[in-house]
Amino acid sequence: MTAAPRPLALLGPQRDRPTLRDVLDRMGASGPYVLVSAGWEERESETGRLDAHLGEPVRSLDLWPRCEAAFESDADLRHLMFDRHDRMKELSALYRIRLAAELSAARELMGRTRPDEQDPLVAPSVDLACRALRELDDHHCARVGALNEETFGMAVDRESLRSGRAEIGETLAGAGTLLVAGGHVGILYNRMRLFGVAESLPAATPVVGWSAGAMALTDRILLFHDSPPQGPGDAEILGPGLGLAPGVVALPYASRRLDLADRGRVALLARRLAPELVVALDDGDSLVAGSDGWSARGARRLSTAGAVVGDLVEGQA
Amino acid sequence: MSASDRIEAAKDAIAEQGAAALEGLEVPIVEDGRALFVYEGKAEGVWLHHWIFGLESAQEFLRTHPDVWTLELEVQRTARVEYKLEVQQNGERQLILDALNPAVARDPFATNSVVTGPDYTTPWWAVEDRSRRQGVILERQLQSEVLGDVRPLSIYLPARYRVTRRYLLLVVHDGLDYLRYAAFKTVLDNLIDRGEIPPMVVCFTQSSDRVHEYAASERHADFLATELLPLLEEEFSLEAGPENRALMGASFGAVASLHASIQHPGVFGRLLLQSGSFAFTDIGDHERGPLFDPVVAFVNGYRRAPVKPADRVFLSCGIYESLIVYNRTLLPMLQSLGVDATLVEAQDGHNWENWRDHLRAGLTWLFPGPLWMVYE
Repeated sequence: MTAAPRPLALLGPQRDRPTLRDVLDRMGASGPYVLVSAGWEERESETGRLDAHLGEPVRSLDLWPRCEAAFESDADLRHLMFDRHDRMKELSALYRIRLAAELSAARELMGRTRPDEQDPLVAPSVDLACRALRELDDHHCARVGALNEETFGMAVDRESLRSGRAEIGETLAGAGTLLVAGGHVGILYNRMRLFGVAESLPAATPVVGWSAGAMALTDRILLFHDSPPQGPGDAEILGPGLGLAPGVVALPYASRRLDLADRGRVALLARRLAPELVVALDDGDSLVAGSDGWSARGARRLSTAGAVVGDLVEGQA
Repeated sequence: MSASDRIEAAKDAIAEQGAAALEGLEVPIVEDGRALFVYEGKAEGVWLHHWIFGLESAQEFLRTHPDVWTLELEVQRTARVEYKLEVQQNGERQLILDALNPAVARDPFATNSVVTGPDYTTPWWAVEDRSRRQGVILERQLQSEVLGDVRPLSIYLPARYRVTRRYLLLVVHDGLDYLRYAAFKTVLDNLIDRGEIPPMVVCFTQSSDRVHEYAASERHADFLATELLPLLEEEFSLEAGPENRALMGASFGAVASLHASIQHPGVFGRLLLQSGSFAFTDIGDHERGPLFDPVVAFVNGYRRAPVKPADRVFLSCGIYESLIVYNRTLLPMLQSLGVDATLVEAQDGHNWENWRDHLRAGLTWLFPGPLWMVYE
């Protein structure tokens, strides 16, 4: 199993049962602690609870106000991001047309068999349906990735971002550990890309992300909710993540957002995303990268047989 | 004591003690699908009037004591029914509020008493929560060439409105009534803050002559598309394209919304239509009065030659309204045109609280919010 090339941890939500301090101690990840919480937008500066939990003040990279200032002064940057937003909407609309159909087919086929049994008649059809889903997800992720490279590649040279990128680079060079908080995962990812956070981070600096922060650190960001206020609740790929935590799909709040007792749904999600490690990160859960792979404390894997299990390696479930 | 026991006990006590038995009682007594209404006072007859289509609208009370009258009715568990009492004194009948029931509903024309089934609750999205980020309402005036007068506009800007962002637009007919009687600002603040709908600019319009302007009037449709929309686009940072603009309204306001979207295709791509007065006649004349003439003509014409009015349409209607038939008829017609349409039916009537209660379903249908993207 591939783990991250640097000290890294992915955590569940930190609001009700914060475990960050404990995880940092276990990792030996020391300060200064530098924080990205742009997913909380204008509330990014509200770090009091985090400071209290850690026992020392964090230093915020202030991506949100930096970005706001850049948007206000640089109309071209603003329109570049508007254009990306519009094209993302179009790509998502196209993706969802096929996604709904492929998911419907896969669910119907899986409904004709048990997820933990290899039915000789239905199984080949299920395999094919899952492969079609993986290909569709890969295709969409690649298209969004190309759009991202185009957009953020053009943004990187904007004068309006230059000083902010330089300051952030300096701060990250002196960081003991980078912390990435939750919130709106799309906004969080975009701000981190605009200011080149991943590129500026020294190779050995530990990183810890929770909730949306954990999602943003992975290879691919999966949006999920089995029962949203509207819409079918079809889990969908938002696009590439920052790639700092390869081989993992992070599902924060999984117990609240997904019906984990539905073995069919669990199995389909795991099979669709295989061979990636699909991990439920609930309150207090953590997944820590070590030299021999990932180790979980509370975090559970969604297995292709439809179970939610503590073992991280397929075949042990 | 079960509810029916409570109702029986209350009736027995009233029969024995008269008005003295009412002390400390919450009237009407409602539980287990039954309700006991009480009228206290001198009368020659008492009736309960509701506006449930298809049911006898006047239900007669029984004289349980010389000056106390009671009526026991079945009430569905999630129902919400507005009513008045009709009391005959000295040979004259008068409609009055139920003096023993503090629950009332207001609208621009009247105040009614309200009884709700035991499972009905005011939805959370209609209850003010000051911990939610609050939007603001700006007042504007628009000198309309098309309508020939000045129109007041109340414009909702979401919390954290910034000119460096672009916003969806919703235009609301009978907007001031929606604000006053359907808690629309509270609904927007709650749903936006929870991420159930995206931040949006909402323009509340009001007509002083709605029965004509909202009755499929071309002038009104032109006003929306050629005067109001350009004004809003000039002042506020709005996303372009019909998929980012919605019209909504209730009753005649729903007719005006549908009509305007057809008159100006490709301008408004989302419709939220509540208890739409989509009356039509497949044979003979309608009996809804002359104000409905242009509406019926419009709907009849639309049924003969339907066109796709928008990409997404949300319909809601109370099942106690006669309009439910028209709305049920409209749904498959829209769907056959390729519209992503849905109809939500309520155990309620033609009133503002019904419309308020379905704003969450309607707004999230038109514009699903970023909740999907937020992981705390």
